[in-house]
Amino acid sequence: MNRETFDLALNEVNQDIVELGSKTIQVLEKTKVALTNLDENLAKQIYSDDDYIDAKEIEISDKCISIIIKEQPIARDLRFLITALKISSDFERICDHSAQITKLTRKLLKHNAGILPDSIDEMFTITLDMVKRIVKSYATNDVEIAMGVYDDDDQLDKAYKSMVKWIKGKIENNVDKLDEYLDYLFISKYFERIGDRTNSIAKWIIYKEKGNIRHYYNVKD
Amino acid sequence: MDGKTKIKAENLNLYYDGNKQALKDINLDLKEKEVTALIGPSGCGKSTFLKTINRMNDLIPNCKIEGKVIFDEKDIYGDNIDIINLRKKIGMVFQKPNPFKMSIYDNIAYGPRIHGIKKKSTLDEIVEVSLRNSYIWDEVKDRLKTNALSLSGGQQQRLCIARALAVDPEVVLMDEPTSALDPISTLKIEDLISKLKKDYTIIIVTHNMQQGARISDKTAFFLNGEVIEYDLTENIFMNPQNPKTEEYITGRFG
Amino acid sequence: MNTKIKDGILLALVYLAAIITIASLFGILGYILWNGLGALSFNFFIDLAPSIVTTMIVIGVSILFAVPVGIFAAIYLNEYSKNRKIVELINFAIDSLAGIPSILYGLFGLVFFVITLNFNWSILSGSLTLAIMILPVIIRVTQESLKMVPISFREGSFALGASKVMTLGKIVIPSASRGIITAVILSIGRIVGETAAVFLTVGTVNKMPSGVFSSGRTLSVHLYLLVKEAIGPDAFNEAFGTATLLIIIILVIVLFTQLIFRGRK
Ligand SMILES: Nc1ncnc2c1ncn2[C@@H]1O[C@H](COP(=O)(O)OP(=O)(O)OP(=O)(O)O)[C@@H](O)[C@H]1O
Ligand SMILES: [Mg+2]
Repeated sequence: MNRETFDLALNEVNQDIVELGSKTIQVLEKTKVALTNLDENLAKQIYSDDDYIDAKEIEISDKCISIIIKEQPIARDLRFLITALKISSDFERICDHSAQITKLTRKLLKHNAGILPDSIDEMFTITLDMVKRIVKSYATNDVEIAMGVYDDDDQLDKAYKSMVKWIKGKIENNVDKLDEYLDYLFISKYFERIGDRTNSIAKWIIYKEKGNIRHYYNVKD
Repeated sequence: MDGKTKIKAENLNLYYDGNKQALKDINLDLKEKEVTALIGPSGCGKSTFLKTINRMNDLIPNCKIEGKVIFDEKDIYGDNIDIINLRKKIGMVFQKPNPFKMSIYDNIAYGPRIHGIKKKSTLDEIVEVSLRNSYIWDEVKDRLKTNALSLSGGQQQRLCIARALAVDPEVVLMDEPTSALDPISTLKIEDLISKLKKDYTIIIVTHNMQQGARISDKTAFFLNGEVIEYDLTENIFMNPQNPKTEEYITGRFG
Repeated sequence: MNTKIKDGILLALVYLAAIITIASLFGILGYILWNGLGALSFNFFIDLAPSIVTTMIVIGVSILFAVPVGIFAAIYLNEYSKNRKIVELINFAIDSLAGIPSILYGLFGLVFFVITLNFNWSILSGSLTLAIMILPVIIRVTQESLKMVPISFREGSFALGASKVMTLGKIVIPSASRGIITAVILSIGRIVGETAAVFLTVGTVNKMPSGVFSSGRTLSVHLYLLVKEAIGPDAFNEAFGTATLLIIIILVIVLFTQLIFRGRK
């Protein structure tokens, strides 16, 4: 086995993942700007970024599979590749969710040209922060950060719950705006999902570095 | 690590030519009816360790052994050990298939015969059962009288396994049993090992990581005559604790 | 181009050597048979019967002594002796013995067996002398063939719990048997062809032997006397006849030995 070729290939996948991560951050940031500024062009960009990321994820999967076939990796190498497969799909889903959030928010803003509730803004901030930290954790192999992100998911869950409560209250008084509030519900649901995905990435980074997922899980649950 | 201990090495040291240390303070606890793989770079002492278990090292002049190898609760280097009986209970399969220059039947019957079985019908039965258990019966049943050397390499190796099984051992030691074989024969032998494991304790030296991962329950990593890591195979191959193990199994050694 | 020429020359030399060997072998054989076959007749056999019988007994007794001793000596040297120095010393002695001219063995036999042990000129004295003479060949060839038996065979046998004796008897020696046969055949050749040593220990009496203590005249000695003393007008014809007979006997013995050993496997 030629380790040099192998290491080069692994390195390439590593860089691809980091790129995918930064791209995801960009998409989330664009989403935020697009929404606050109601920027049509930026919204369109987000959709095309999503396509790019879909393609990137498939490319990474192909590379990983080809390395697995050729090199039959074990130990750290195998964990690295499994992690790459898992988290590239997580990033891809995060971008999907961003696109969906964009779509819903544009619809909302078009209809009532109102201002987004603060709690949505808060969820946005938490999510963006989590994603940024997780990308950093991956790029620097820093498990501590990943563990922190894993714990922060609770915060997001809390925000989501209070959002649901807020929406419930609103619906009771404004049944005519049911559609609007349902959209808020969906948006916050998507944030919650992005949180779950980030969480999953954190898990796999821990696995990659520590070789054991259950270990950490058991402590948590 | 549960299960009954079958073989246990305790502070085992081995020196060739009086002073060349080939095994350093080996402590290993091998369980009954498990497959243990021994891995490690060339010259690290895997074969040497294997040969201490059935005392094949006795054949080597100036080979000094310290410490204990406990087999079924008795130190095989202690007093009153019947080596012939020990080797009957601990069979061995070598790297290169080594059938004797005699018929297939006589190869298998050789062991039982030297242990005193003379009755034709008993021998016939042993030959058939051993060949069946080694999954080679169908390939040779019509030519038991032909010379074993006319078989293919893979068949010869399965014959050698059958020959080892014919004396009804409890442990089978295998020193790179597939390194001289093609992939198909290798897979056949691996299958065979997986099937044998329900009746035998198997210790196998292998240079093929994938093979070790496929067939063994536990893996011991040897380096310079020492056991660096010994754990469930899954742990060794997914998440070794010692960086040296990791370096070796991922091929970034040295 | 250059290499091609070199190759060509080498090939020519190889062929030449082969042709010289084969031609001289068949030339001699053919010449003897051509001249000797005519002399063979029933009466000729009757006349030579004592020599034929003497030769056969000498071969048999020599082999009987030399083969077991030789094989055991070889096994000891190869499989048992631990001391390298002693083995080398013994091997040196054996090689030196193999190089001694046969007349010296004859002298030794004459002094030791014939005179000192008082066996007189007899088949026994001769056979013992010849046995000592062929011992080096048997030991050396057997040793070499024991060395040729792969270690893996021995390991395989030991690993099954076989003892050393069993491993030797059932695996090693049978695997070395081809070499041992060769040693025996070579020895028979030397015995049949030996003249000087036999002349000095068995004697020259041309009569039917009655046992191993009888004196006698082997075919080679007979042949030698025929040619040397040219007794009678037909001496040369008779000599060729005797030579033909010798060749036939050797062929028969070689075939026979091979059959025996092959049957055993
Ligand atoms: N009979 C012997 N006499 C002297 N030294 C020996 C003997 N057999 C092995 N050694 C030495 O002992 C060390 C361990 O050898 P061993 O054959 O056990 O290695 P191994 O792990 O089986 O290697 P490989 O994977 O190449 O088979 C090596 O340094 C070797 O040179
Ligand atoms: Mg070895």
